[in-house]
Amino acid sequence: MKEKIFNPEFQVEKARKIGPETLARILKKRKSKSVLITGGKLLEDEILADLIAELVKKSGIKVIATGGSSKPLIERGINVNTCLLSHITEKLTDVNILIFVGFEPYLLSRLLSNIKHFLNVLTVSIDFYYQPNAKLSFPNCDNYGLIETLVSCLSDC
Amino acid sequence: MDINIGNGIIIDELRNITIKIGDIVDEEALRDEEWEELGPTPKPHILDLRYWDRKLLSRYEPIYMPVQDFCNLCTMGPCELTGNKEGACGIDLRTQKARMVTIACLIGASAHATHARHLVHYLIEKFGRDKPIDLGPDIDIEAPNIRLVLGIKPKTIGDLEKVLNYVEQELVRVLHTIHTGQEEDYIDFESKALHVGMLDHVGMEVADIAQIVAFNYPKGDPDAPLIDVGFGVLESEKPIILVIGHNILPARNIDDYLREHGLENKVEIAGLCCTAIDTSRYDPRAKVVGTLSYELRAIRSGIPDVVVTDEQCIRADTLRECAKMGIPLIATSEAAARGLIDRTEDDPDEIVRDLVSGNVKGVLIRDPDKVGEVAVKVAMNVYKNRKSPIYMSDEELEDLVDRCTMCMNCVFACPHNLRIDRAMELAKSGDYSYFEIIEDTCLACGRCEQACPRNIRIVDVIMKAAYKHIREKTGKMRAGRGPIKDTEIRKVGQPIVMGTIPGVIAPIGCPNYPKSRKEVSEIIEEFLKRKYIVVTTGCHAMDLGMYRDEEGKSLYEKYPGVFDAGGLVNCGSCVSNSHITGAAIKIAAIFAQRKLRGNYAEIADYILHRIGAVGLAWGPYSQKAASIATGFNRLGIPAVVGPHGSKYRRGYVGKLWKKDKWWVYDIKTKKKMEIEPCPDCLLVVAETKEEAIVQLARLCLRPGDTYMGRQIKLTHYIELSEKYLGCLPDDWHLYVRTEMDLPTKMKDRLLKILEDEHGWKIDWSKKKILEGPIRKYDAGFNPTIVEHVYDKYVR
Repeated sequence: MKEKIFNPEFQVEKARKIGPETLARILKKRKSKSVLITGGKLLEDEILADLIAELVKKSGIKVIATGGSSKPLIERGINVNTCLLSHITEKLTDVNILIFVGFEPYLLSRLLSNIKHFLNVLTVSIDFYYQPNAKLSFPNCDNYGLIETLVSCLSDC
Repeated sequence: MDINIGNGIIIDELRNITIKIGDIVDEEALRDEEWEELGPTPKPHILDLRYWDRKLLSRYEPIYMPVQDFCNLCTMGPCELTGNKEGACGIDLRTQKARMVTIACLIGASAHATHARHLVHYLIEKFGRDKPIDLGPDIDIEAPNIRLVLGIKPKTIGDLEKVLNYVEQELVRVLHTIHTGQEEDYIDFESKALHVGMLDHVGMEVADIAQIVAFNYPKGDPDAPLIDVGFGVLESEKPIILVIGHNILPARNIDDYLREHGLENKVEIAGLCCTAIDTSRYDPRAKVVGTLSYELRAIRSGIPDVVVTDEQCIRADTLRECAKMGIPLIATSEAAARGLIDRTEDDPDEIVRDLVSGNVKGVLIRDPDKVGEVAVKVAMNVYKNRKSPIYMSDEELEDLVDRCTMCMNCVFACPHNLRIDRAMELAKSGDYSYFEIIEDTCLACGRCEQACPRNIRIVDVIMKAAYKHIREKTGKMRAGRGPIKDTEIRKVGQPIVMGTIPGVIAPIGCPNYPKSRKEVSEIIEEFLKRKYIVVTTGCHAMDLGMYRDEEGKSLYEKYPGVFDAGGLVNCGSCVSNSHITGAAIKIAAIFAQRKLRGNYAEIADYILHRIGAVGLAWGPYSQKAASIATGFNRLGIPAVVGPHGSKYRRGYVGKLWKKDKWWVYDIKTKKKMEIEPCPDCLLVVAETKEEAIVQLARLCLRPGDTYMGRQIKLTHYIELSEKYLGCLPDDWHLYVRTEMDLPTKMKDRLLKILEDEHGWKIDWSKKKILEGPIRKYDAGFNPTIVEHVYDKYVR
């Protein structure tokens, strides 16, 4: 998939591209300080919802589900902290690694921009599109390959 | 300075004296000015309501989501502001973003105010200054925003000029503050944005009142006629004049010309955007094609025989696109002269000859009356040579699809990152169905075509492939009825304030939806079924009419047009948004008997704490939507925006855990007290339809709800959360003041959760809450956060 930036913006500091193995190592060391924040794409993408459910089961990471993504995760037996996007900051006490998945790319870019400029936490995007406003981001990927690899890396942990 | 001459003066033996006279106020007018006690802030300047804004923004903190890390507004820059750094002028990122929001609001409010100025100027020339403002026997409060903000009661169209003088002066004052090197406090910039939002609703009210009284639009009629709406209306065997924009004047004169010459059944007017809505208010035979997202589609179809543009949301390549299709264009506004020669003074028949022959691609005609004649004559001549087939032949479609290499440049360029590549791939094997899905979300902005290295006309491909699908999307929209009647407010004021009508949902704004256009209908029908009041305008009003159910009925045919529980009220075009704020203001005036005149903070405070109204801009796009929503916010009305609304770069979000922010003075008990955090946001983004529905229900909660009202609102909130989020909301317990607030059907379950998960004490023998709530319910609770309001009413 092309090395392009979706909706190109003008950032000085851009995310470092990482692979699933790197994220798996981070999660292994700092799971208790990490949270997975899920977005509304899980409502329309069953494969993604299955993968994320598996990821959560394997890693034991806490989940904050926004945009209605709680419903498919609950249906898959995942215990989630459901919230509306407006409440997200209420849920971020005691964590300093925020991992995002399942968002409209242009919306995630805005959320990450807010965090980049005004909060001091590590943000990671594992969505399909590279997110320059994150600290760390998966590169563009047209399929579920990177998330599948992440899940298998976590299984090996 | 006002001088009261009293018994008169005698000037004798004086020479070389210059006397300048401003407004001459006669005794009758002076008596009229005593119609109501004057509040503290008539014609407020920038800082006059700052105290109210700071109260709001202390509770609802601005959050910023920058689109770029730079400021490049002056030559000292570009300045990099990453991490809230300061630029060369000293401004930090947060303040710079507040400045950008203020600019956006200024653009939006200026568009409406100038639109109003054009209308009023024209109408004074046509009808005279003394044309009375008469909205019918059921509307005494003719201009709630103007009364509230300026403290005057406009009686004639001439009075509206004075209102616009004030609005324009204030807009320029705020614009001045944007200049490099001034404001350094982001809250002060936000206060200016809120000021502009308030002015916007005044400007919009001027525009809509003027056109309603001058052109005899429906005056609050809940049974306003049903109008044909949808792309399919373009298919006609008659010449078609396509009018685009937001100012009725050219379209109205086209309609008049048709009627005067007996051509009303021989030539059709179809419209896009708010001009379409207002034309259908003037003449129900006019057809509404749809929103801005249909503009390129309509032109590229080759169906329109002439295109007439006025102002605001019109593509900046309209002339180029029309020229490609051989469609003559008539520009009519100073806002979009399009590089065309001004032919205003020329003989109409000469202009027609030039346009029909193709000698010129378009003309600028600034006289709306002349546009009527030229447009009709051009359409009738061009129609004879209308091209076919629509968009392209089947062979060309196959050829263009075959050209695609699935490079995905289009996907990255698309605002929605629609997977055009996948649709192309499927189409290569003969399956075009994916284009129908894409068409339903596509804005037809054309960015994909700009990015395509193979020069594929992607918008046309989508339209050709999905044409059968889109032409079936035609429905009915109730014509914009204008204001809410005072008589309706008398009926519903109490149930809205008590909460037994659970809320007023106001879907407004543009068509930049995140997914299918149908989602707006799905969101809104959920609330109509639950007996909320829905009040709509603009693009949302059009899209609500596009979809039919299994029985072939659109929402306007299923739900009545009354401002009452379960009613779907279409107020009209963008400028009709002033009637939504107007309805909230009228509730305070009519039901609660609060004085409006120059009394902004008191009324906004009342609305914030008692009237469960929420705006929904599911597809925000233009700067006008930003200023409209900001005007809602200053008046205490929250707004939910779709995910593209995050590009406005800011929200107003309260923090539940900051307990010191959630307080009021209770006038009854004379105490400052903690309250439940509702509404807890003024401007917030929702990502999905599901999230928006739950958020809207939640933001209808108000501290002033009676227990019956709270019970009804909580029932909807909890039911919707369980339906769409799959679980109870995370904050429902915060809104419980007494066991009587709990939904009856769920009472036992919820009491158990309160006891087990939140540590509340419950007396199970009486099913009574003993300890736990933030505050106890009090039927006489009378909240305010404004000191002078507290002082006024406390005894």
